[in-house]
Amino acid sequence: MNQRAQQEILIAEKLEQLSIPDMVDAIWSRIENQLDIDLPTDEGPGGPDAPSQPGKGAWVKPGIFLFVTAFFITIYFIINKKDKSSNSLPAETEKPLLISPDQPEKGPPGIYDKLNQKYLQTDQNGQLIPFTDSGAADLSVTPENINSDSIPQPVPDNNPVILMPPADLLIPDTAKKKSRGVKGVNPGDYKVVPSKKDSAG
Amino acid sequence: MIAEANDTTALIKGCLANQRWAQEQLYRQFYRYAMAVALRYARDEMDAADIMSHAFVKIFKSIHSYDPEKGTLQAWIRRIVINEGLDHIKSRERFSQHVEIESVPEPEINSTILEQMGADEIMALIHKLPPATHAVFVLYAVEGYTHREIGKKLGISEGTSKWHLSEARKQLQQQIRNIFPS
Repeated sequence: MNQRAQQEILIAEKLEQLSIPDMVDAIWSRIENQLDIDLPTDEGPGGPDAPSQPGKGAWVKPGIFLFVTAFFITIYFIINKKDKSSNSLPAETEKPLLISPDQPEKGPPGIYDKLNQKYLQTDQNGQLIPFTDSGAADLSVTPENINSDSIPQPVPDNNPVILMPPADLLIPDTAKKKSRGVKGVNPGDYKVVPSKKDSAG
Repeated sequence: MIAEANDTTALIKGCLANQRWAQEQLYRQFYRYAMAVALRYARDEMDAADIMSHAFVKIFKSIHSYDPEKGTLQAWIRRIVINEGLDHIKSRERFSQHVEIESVPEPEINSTILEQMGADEIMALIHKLPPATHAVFVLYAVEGYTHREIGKKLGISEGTSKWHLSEARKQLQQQIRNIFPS
């Protein structure tokens, strides 16, 4: 303890009687706001009863946020990977070369060979053979003697009906064959023409 | 529950558990005492409110360091409020080294005049002192610290603390003479 003068002891006693301003609620409001930042409770701002250790609750919310974010990112990548793998398949393999028409009543029964552009059917042994209609002529057989008079002449039809094959049987243009040779060079360009002799020579 | 809340020990336990109701109760219980301390270091009421809010946030953040065996809770709160008040004064003025003196002359203030003055009037005179001189005078004359303790708190030498006390006495005498010329 120091050796205070009599006047200073008197001043200290006087200061004990200082009038205290009524700012109790205003100051508490500021303290509470600061505590909500520095020492948040589990009940949130101004929570009445929050039996928790300081700092423990501060890790709960960020932890949940990180977990949820990581979960959604993982799901996103899995879905994205699946989409990429399905999109990377070649377009040609989407449809089989041998297809079965959906509407058999419009086309001949059997299987259509896209590659050879003809219908196939199975024989008794289960082997695939070219389609032949029992009522139709066998086009693969070449007739030797055919009388031209016996061939029925086609009667012109004023109102021809054009039957379109089933939509599935239509082959897209993308399957066009590539043109052979160099573009712009005709077979005539390969013809060898002897050069004329120089008469003057 | 209410009876428990009024108990200081229960309030300390509640504060240790970061319970708002306990912190608010503790603050309200010591408001008048702490505000009286804060006002000695503040320029005005708003300044005192700043000291109070900062001090109590520190109190609740470091309540685990309070040891009942070393002293009462009131003394611990008082020390924190004083330190916050000094930090407040330091932010206004740097505590530079001044002329060092060995002894401080006794004040020549008329005690009768002081007795006639009110607390607010005396506080107004103290507020007119330069911040560092103000701090040393309050720490020595009101709080009862020695020059050695004041030197440690403010980071100055004992001689500088004595110089500030001497300056405070001189300036207070001059102000009182100006108010009471006779």
